[in-house]
Amino acid sequence: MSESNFTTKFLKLFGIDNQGHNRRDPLNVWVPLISVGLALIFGMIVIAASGRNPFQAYGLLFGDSGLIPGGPAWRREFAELLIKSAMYIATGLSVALAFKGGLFNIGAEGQFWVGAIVATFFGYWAPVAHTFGAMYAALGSFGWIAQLLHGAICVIMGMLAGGAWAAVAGYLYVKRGVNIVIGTIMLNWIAWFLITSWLVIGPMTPPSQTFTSGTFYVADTAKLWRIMMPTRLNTSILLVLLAAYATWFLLYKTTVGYEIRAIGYTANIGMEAPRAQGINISRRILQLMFFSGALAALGGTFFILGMQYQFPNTAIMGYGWTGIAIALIGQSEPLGVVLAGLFIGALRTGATSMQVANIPKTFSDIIEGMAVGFIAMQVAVRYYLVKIIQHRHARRDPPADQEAAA
Amino acid sequence: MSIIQINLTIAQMLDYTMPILFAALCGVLSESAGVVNIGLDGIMRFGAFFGLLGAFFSHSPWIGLLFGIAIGCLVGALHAFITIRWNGDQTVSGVAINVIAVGLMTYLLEYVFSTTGYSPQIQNYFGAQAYRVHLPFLAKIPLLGAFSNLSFMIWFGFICTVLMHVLLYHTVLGLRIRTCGENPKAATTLGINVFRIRWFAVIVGAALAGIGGATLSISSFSGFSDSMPNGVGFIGLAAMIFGKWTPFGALGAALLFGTGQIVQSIIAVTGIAPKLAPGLTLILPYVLTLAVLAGFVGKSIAPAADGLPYYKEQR
Repeated sequence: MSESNFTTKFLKLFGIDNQGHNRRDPLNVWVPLISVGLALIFGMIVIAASGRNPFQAYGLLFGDSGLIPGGPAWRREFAELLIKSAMYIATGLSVALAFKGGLFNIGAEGQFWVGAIVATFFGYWAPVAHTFGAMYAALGSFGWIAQLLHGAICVIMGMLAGGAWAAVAGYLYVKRGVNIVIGTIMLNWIAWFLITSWLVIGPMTPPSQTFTSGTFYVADTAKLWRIMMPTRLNTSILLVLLAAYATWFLLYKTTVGYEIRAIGYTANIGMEAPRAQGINISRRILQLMFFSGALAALGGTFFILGMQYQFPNTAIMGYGWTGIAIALIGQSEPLGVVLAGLFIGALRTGATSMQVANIPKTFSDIIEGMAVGFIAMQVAVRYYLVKIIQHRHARRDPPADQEAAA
Repeated sequence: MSIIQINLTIAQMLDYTMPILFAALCGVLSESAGVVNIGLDGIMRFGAFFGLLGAFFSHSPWIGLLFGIAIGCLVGALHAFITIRWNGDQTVSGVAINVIAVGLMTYLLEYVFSTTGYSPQIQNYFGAQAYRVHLPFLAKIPLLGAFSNLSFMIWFGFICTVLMHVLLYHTVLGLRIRTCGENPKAATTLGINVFRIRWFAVIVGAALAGIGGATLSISSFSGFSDSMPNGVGFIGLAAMIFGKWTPFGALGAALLFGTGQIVQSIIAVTGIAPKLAPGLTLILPYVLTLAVLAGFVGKSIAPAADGLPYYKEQR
């Protein structure tokens, strides 16, 4: 088999290294778009193969996704789209930021839930909640200051905890050589079981409740403001856009970001260049993991303070895994992550109404997974793209091509 | 706690162990050849559903097992196609398989059985008395009595472990597989086709993960539930690392983690501690694995070329 031989040559031809990184390559925009397009086509095939009408199903999917204005329920759907997207963009940014430093933070899931549980705790914990409750009552018409402070404390504490949780994996990687993928996977499950099989059914449950009821509810002052009544759209989307801007600023406008990218570009070839430059690689990787975990945890705080107001006993994993898909579709660029997050949020919003056509709402997982699969095969996608382009050029301008060949 | 209770507990523990073991063996084979397979949780989910599907429609668990193997091979071939043919990122490909498995199995469960959450229960599964391996002469002996009436899949797991050990350490093919995982360049120099060996290891490994999934749905339980495999694949990944990438190590780790899974029920039966937070016992596999990897308890080292795509002309 000579495929590898040929693949490498092909990649070199386009100035792409073995990982497919080349920021100036216009195909970078096309690869995720084509991957998502192919995934949608495959989704149609799945629906058609099971004897249902794919056009009706996609009509429901996109019609109720909140992307298309109009219709009686549009405001609600649009709000749901933004609420969901805010959480997915947060985990997507987390994974994307780590990718930029050459790390695969598969642990956004665990960091998300750590952020959620810590936000819950500071939302209901009596000393904090009573202080801000009293403050709210005392301030009267300036009560929003108390809300702002309490919300900020919950969000910041959640982010610090999530960052610390991710930094554990960073520490194990830097000091002990534990592969970051394995380390974060293990920490995912440790966080998940500690939270759902211990904290939520034990210490954090109201004493009078059964163990299926979840934790205490957070105080009113901790809840995120609603910005589009009567829908439940809250400030989370604004916060996450701010976080996306901050991530972009960190990556492209600060020294730390430059060093992170330098580490990321050379991660597979020993990081000699950044080391020779005098960059403290261990410290940067620890910081990177902390920032990455904090971003994922931000999504977790939205889950509690914007939607659930308590840590429910019925929470389902998946936000971090979706974050990986979003980071890949967004090609790890903050703007791309925001767009990919909005798209996935729309899919998930619309998927709930596909149940009318007897299609489970996990259908969006199939699309996501296939898109990720095609992005994993991006070398193939690029290869056929270039072939198509070359074919077109050859047809339009045959003599020039022959000259080039000669 | 009577002898019968102890025997039952051991048998139950083995039921929990085998899916973990099959997943771990998948990881051992695949990673020995240098291909990381994070997607084995997803492959198990495929195996669990298709295993049940085969057993449900043919009324025979053997057909179900074949279905599990077949779907495992198919998904493994997909992983190999992405990561070996097109040099895709192995972790990304694994994530894709996991996510597709979540969506597609729920979809198929709803499509085939028109139910949500659980498939119908089946009568002919490996855990049923008719399909158990009866060894009456063991029944009277304490402790060994637990082995007198086990599901076929449990014995199959032990057999696979031994076969895997023989394959990896006592055959030429095994030496070649390990060379591809340690130093593919050297393997090429010796005239070994690294790509072909890796295709083989990934597909056979994935078939094992498929068997592991089928073990869940047609041996340990008698039906498919939407939450399967509930992270068993990742425990398998942990067991592979804790067992230092060797078949017998994986077996030991799987036994340990299987015990961890039922510690809760042992405590309930014996009444040692009236109430222990289940979360604290469930995190055991992951904490132990991190400790081993970090070198706090022994040291576990992956094959040198594990997870790296292979480029023939790269120096």
